[in-house]
Amino acid sequence: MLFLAAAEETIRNRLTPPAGDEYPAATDLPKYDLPPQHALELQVPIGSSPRPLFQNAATCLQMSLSRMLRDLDLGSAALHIATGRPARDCLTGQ
Amino acid sequence: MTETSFTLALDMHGELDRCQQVVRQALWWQGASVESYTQDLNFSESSKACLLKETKSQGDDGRVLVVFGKLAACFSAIGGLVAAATDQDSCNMLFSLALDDAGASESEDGWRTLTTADGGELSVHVAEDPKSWRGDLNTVSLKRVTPEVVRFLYRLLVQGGLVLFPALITATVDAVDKLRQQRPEDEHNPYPPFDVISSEDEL
Repeated sequence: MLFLAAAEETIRNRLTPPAGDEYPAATDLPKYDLPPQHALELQVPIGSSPRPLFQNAATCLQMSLSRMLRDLDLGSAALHIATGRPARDCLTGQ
Repeated sequence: MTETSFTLALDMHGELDRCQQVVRQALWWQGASVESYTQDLNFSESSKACLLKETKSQGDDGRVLVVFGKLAACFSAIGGLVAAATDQDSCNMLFSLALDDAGASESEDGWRTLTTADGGELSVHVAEDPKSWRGDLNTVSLKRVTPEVVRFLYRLLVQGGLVLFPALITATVDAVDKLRQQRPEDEHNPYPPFDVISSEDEL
């Protein structure tokens, strides 16, 4: 799935209620299996998508995620853009 | 093979389930690739990266979190924060006034809750001190989405020339054009691919 395509799908298919009286509860989110840690890195490859992601997209994601965590008094998120570093290198810390 | 990636370093505290719920939503918004990795930061030999997996475990409370801000937020300086909300047309002020008009609850720990006539419910985090360090961004927690909730948010998108993050949706093409005139595009500062919507039905 792609960042923007997923966002569009989210907005159009999940936030817009269907006609009638039955409103969705805005649930059914994918349940990513995160490690049970309060500090972690999330490394996301850019370019594996046919719809290119670029730096500002990552910045926007970090900005919104950090804002959510801060407003909920749950922490913060910092962003680092790495170029030329295979994501799989972090598998063994090579 | 050369790849480009971005890394989010997450420093969280408080109830782990709630922290993970927020992060899971961010991953969901992003549509995180199966080629993404997570790595815990306990700085021990046991710390290792893992492919992002999806689990069928339950436990989220069903709320959807989004952030609203001004277009300029996309071009913020280091740290990703925008200028503090000080003017009358700031995102924070727009939400505060709209919540006043709609009869939302008073602030509780910075959160104001609006229950609409058709049973919708949303909460907005607003800055009590508009001159505080906070950037001009407002987190919106959607508990129950109804037509009136969508209408409320769409009206603010239009009135304020706001952007919904991280989906990069806006309702004012004029504001996008104006921003591009003010900030010539270059390879180091590319424009996000905004989605401009023209009606609340599209939101």
